[in-house]
Amino acid sequence: MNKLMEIALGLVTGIGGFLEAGSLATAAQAGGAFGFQLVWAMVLGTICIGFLVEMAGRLAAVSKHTLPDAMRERFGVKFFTVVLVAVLLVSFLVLASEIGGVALALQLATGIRFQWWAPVVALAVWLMLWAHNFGLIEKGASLLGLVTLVFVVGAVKLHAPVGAISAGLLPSLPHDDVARYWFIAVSIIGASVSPYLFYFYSAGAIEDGWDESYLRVNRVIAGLGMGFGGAVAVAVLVVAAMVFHSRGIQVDRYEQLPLMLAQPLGRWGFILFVASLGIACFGAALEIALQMAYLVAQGFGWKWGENIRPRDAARFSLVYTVAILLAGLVILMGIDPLKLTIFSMALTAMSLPVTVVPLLILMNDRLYVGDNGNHWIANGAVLFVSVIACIVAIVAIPLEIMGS
Amino acid sequence: MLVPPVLALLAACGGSATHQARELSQNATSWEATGRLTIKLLRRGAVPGRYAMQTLKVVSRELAKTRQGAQKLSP
Repeated sequence: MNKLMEIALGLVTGIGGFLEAGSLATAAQAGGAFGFQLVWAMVLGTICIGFLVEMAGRLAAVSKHTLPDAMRERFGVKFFTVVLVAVLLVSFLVLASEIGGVALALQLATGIRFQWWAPVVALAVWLMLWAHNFGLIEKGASLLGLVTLVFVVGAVKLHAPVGAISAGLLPSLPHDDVARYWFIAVSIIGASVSPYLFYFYSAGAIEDGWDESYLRVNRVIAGLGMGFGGAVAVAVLVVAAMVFHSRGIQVDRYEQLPLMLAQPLGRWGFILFVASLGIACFGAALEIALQMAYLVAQGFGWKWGENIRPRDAARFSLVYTVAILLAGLVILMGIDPLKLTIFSMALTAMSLPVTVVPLLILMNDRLYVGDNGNHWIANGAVLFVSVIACIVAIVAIPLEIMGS
Repeated sequence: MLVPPVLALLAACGGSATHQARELSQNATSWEATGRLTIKLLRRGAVPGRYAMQTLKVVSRELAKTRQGAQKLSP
């Protein structure tokens, strides 16, 4: 019964926690610019994150090691530092994007410019982490995140054409804007395969005391949770395609986004869009700030844990405090949150081999996972997506910068 | 496997005037359509007036930028 509850909560976390600034923005941009043509990128990213989350949970359950801890032990401090810097850098940019997303939701609700909301949002994120425990943060944010299911309602209300969406499962090149097409494709993969998701999941499995009896629970949560979460992200793309693409609207600013739900659902669509953006980004900001603290504390062997009082894990608390403060400052400076989000996602895609390959090596090391090592399909799928996304990102990012 | 996307990207490198003109035209279409949709939804009461005003200001700013871009392109 207890495990059934774990699975139910895990599924809620997968669905309610999947959508955040990155997946929302990239899906909306993809739908607006290319209709259903980039559904494949979303599905590929979802499959990849499903595999990675399952691996991170399996590593924690079998070896009782968190990911950073195992990496430092297996590869040494020098290599771990490279991974640490890469993950911290992309996580920091994504954290700033999420704070920007909440600030924009508040701008849409109140009319007050998003920059002025940045310190308020940063303070609220910090207070939540300071005052509450892991369970409340993870489950509370995900439960509220179920509001994002409104995109599925929107897709149904618009009578989304199943045939055309299915055709988008096969990659096809557009007639023009090829550079933008690939840039958005890698941004979608970066948004789906954000390292914070599997690092956070691994730390959560340790916080919740998982052992080998949780392997099946882990598989169900990773497979179904990420699958349903990915379906919500596809619904965003579908709604954007039907409302924006059909009118020739390309998404260049966050201000355009509420229109996609206001069109099919009226005033409630507008309200629920603002709520979805605010809640999804707030939940993600909590998880990313916490994951950054986990990463540094676990990597350096400091005392860590969101269930421990902050003064008992002072260095752990200091890491998320500094990260939130600096990310809040980035948004306060007035940087366009949508541009920041999209570039963060592309950079995430570029850093994938550095963040993913060490996990693959660990998952094939019997010292850590015993007989629960990876199947070649999981190795192949994750390696393939990571390397391709990285190479395409290396070419696409400079082209997008030159283009804009 | 990697060749098609990378070649396609490199082919897109050529930032010709025609390409820039097409991009400006796309931008103009996109922002005009955003403005029209905002007004339509405002009339239906689907979006608040304050939001519509802010969005229409963004639309007019972006259209002005596009116009400036077009003037720079014209000989």
